[in-house]
Amino acid sequence: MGRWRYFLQRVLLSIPVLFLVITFLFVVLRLGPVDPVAARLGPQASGADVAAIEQRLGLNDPLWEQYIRFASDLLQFEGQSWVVQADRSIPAVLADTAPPTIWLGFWAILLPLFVGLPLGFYAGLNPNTGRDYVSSALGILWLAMPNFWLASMLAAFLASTASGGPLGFEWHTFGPNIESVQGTPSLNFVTMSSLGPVPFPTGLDFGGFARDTKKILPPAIVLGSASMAAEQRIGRTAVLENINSKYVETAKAKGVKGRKIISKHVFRNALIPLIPVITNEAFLLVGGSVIVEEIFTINGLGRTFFQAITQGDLPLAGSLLFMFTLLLIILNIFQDLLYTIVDPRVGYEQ
Amino acid sequence: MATERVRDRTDRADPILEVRNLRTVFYTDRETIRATDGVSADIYPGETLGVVGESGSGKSVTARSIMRLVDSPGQILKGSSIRYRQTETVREYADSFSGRTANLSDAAREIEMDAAFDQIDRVPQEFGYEQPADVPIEDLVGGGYGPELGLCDEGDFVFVTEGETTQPGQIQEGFVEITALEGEARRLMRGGRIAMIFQDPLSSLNPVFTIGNQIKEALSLHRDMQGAEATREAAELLEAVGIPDSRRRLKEYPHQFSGGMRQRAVIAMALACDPDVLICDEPTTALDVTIEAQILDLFAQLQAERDLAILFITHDMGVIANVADRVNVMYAGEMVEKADVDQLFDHPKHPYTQGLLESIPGAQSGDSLSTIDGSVPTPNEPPTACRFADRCPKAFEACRQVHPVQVPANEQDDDHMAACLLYPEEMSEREAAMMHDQRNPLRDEESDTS
Repeated sequence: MGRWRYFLQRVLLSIPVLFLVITFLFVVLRLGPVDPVAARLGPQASGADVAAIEQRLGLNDPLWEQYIRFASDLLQFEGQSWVVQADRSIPAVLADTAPPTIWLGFWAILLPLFVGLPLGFYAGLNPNTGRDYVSSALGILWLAMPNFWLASMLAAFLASTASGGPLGFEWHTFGPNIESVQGTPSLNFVTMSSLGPVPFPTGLDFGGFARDTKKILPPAIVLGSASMAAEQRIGRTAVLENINSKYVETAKAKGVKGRKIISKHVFRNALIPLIPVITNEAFLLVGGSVIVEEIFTINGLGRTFFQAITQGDLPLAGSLLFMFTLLLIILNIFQDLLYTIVDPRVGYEQ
Repeated sequence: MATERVRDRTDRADPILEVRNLRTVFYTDRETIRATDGVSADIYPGETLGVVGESGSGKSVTARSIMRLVDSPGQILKGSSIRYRQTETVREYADSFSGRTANLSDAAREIEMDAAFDQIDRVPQEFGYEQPADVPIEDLVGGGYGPELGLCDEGDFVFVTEGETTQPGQIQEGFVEITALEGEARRLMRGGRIAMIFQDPLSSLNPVFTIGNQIKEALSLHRDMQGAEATREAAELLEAVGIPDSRRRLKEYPHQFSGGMRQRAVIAMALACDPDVLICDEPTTALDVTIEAQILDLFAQLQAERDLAILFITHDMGVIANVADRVNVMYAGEMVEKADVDQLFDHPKHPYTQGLLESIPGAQSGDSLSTIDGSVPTPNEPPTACRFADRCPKAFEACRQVHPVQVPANEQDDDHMAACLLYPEEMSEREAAMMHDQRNPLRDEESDTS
């Protein structure tokens, strides 16, 4: 079986999974204690208003009709928000809230990849040295600090630098100016125009890019901290395991240069155990973004989801969860694809 | 001394590789393990030297020391010498590393050995000799005492014994000291001059690269071949080691090969470097007997074609009988017996060798298989007695007081060496014990772990 046929099969197999997820979401959300009507009208709403809203939202329809509507909205990426941004179409809400989250996720994946992984490899190449211990201790420290705590502390600390503080400079005015540690990055540093239906970037505002990057760095560090530590530790182990392996010894006995042994023989093998770690980061990001966005008051998907679920905005919460599920399924397939590229031993045969 | 006699023999070329007083120790928190404790061996071109012994006797450490693959916490001690004597190589090294080349031909004639030993604060017994004058200058210089004696500079590793360092092409005799090699010089020695084949063929191959890729890597390193030329040569190598359909096989990964095929591929990879010496560390242990026989035949064939010197390490006496021309028996970090293969199997001298041969199934005299009781002791102290004494059926009192050294087993057969107080056969036990004791280092050896 060829590589592409295998992935077609994987995609087809994920369709029933999606239906199961939709049904499960509907049941869980519908059974939950949330009351969209109360959330929208407040506790003192009169009976007539309640009845009217219930009628409008279709809460009095037979359950199976509600289910069909829920499912078809999800599948067609349609529907309207009930409470959080009442009566706006969900795609419009997502178009507003997704970019800050993607921006946050981008940095939260990039930082561990370019800090945690090199640190881990470095520690693995210098095992049981002072440098190794420092790197490993930092990794464990990062891993041990929970997101919500680290986020609060970092936000408070950076805000405190406004009046002097231990850093000796103000975070707000250090480099590009930002008004507050918290808040949503504006993300308007790219000027877009469209050629027919295809949009393409025409200009880049470096000042805006720097501001948005500076704004997103603290939450991204918090969000990426756990992954950074995981990559550091797994990277270290993977390098150590491979550097002591027989084929590295064979390569040495063959006269391969030291640097080439690392870059060719060790590096690629060390990547294999790191693939699931890196793709799993996406899972962590989805969960972590809820907390981090809430603390740094970023109007992203996570914060919107948190509001939707506490206020009984069933279509919005359902859509977001559905998107997360879709993301995870795609990432899983992507992960399998990466495996087959990096490790030739992973085959497609049943 | 045996080495002198061997070199005097006219029917044999000079050894290509000489190992002298090799002491490789491993420093652990609890103890210092002397994995090889004064090992000496000679490997001749076109000949197979078998090294046999139980697990833990130091066979693999010997091989790894020659390849300089001993990593921390292991260390090759000062005084150890591994000399690569092929003239061609010495010339090339003298040419490429002229700054690290020293001429020994004049110095060697002038040096006063008694004074030299005083100067370096050593005794000749550490080098296996009774008198300072007996110790070859190569052993001292190779062992790293050259700078102290003013014979060479720190870091020199090419030594010319006949010829001029200024005319590398004219060098007649010399050696490259492997224990002193570093960096690029060491890398060129590995693979290009001495190649090694490891025990487990699957883990010796990198799982994420094709067989072709790994063979071609060796070709580009040592023979400067690239692209289509390298592919053609790699395919020919695979054919040479008996892998049919080699063009297609080059594109396959190690896991797609069977066990025997993998070992053939590993052999092809080692041969791709075009080495003069091939070290095989239990190359057939992971294979079944049919495949083992095929691989052993392959070694014999390749040796005949390429005039390879082979150091063959195994714990299997049956395999040794098949492949080796000469055999060294190792026990607890020491060579306890050296002989031609026929001599060794027909007339084993050392009680340990006798025990090993009796424990081959089918060779026992009674119904039950005879064994050697106990296990190899960990050599963690300098030897003050025979390390085999506790397991030896022939041990007598002196065995626990005198450390035996290599002596000819008897006068007629001076190429047959044994490190046992029972020998030389012509001497009484008391005389022999005294003679062995004379040749032991008198001083406490702990101080040479510098």
